[in-house]
Amino acid sequence: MIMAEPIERRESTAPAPEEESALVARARGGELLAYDELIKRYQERIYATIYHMTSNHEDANDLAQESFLKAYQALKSFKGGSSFYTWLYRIAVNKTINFLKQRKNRQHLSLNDLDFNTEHDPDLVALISDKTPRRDAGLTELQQKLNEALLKLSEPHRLVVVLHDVQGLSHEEIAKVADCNIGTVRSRLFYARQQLQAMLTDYLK
Amino acid sequence: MDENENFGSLRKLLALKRHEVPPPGYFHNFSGQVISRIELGEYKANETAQEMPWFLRFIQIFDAKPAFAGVFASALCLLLIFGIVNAERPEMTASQPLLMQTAENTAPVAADSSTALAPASAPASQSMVAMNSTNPILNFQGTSQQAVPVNELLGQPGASVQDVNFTPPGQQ
Repeated sequence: MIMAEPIERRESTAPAPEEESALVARARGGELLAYDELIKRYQERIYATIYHMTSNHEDANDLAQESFLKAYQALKSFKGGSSFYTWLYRIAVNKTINFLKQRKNRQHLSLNDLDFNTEHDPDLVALISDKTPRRDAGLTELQQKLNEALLKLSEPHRLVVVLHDVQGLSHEEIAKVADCNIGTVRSRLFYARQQLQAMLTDYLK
Repeated sequence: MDENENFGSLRKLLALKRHEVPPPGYFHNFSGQVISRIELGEYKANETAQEMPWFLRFIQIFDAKPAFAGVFASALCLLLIFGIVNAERPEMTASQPLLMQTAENTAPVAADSSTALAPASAPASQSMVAMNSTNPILNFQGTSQQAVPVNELLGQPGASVQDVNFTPPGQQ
């Protein structure tokens, strides 16, 4: 409570965030300050999506930067038919999938550390202490196995799982990003989950 | 059936991914790095890289799809084999009219060589009548004022020949 107060006060005095469309228009006009603001808005989500797809921090860093560069280069062609966020996501996803196709069979993990809250996540605590037969399996081992299993999925299936179950996007949003219909999203999600469940069966009992 | 019931445990496990975070302070510098790359004009470099020659872009497909490289190599090998086999065939089609034309031009000129040419050109003269109607090269026009019947040429009795002195160059 004590920690939250200054944040609330700062939020109340902060200027209202500028409209995304206005920022995009300014960035299209060559204002780098506006584009900097757009990057700051979406950098974490873009990085996270790429990281979960590649399971490699260095690759995710390169691809995230490349995606923002590409978006800036293509900003003039952005018609505003979809939201800037969806458009940016599509650029990042396409770049990542192309990259993964090129480096096929040359995958190596470079996993990020788990944050402090992991050990207190009720879902994970329950999963590890109650249900997992291998109770000595630490979080790091679980993280390793989960990432290895994800990498065994095909890119389209991995993308759907990452966007839905990790990033929390809706089926509709995923359909826009992946440029397919909602039925395809649902079937890919179902198949991908089945595959993951089979691969991680030891950790899910 | 509710998808959450079926995959509840899996979704809980996938929640672990949300706790994977990049090194502390990573995002503090991120936008600055992108903006400085834009200021350096790197996005323009990317632009020109996309406009690379078609050949390089074609080669890049091989990186993405190794199977395509195999198919392409096989197609090239087949083409090569086809070319070799075709080249080893006796000259029946393409070179025949040329041979016949040469024979026609030399026949009235080289009197002594008519017997030497006879075996090779005999089959050619038989098929000449059929080809005469479609190939204007085979018609005798302009070069000789005396029209020579086709069936009397090249070893056929009664072919009109003319003596010509011929000395190969360098033996004068």
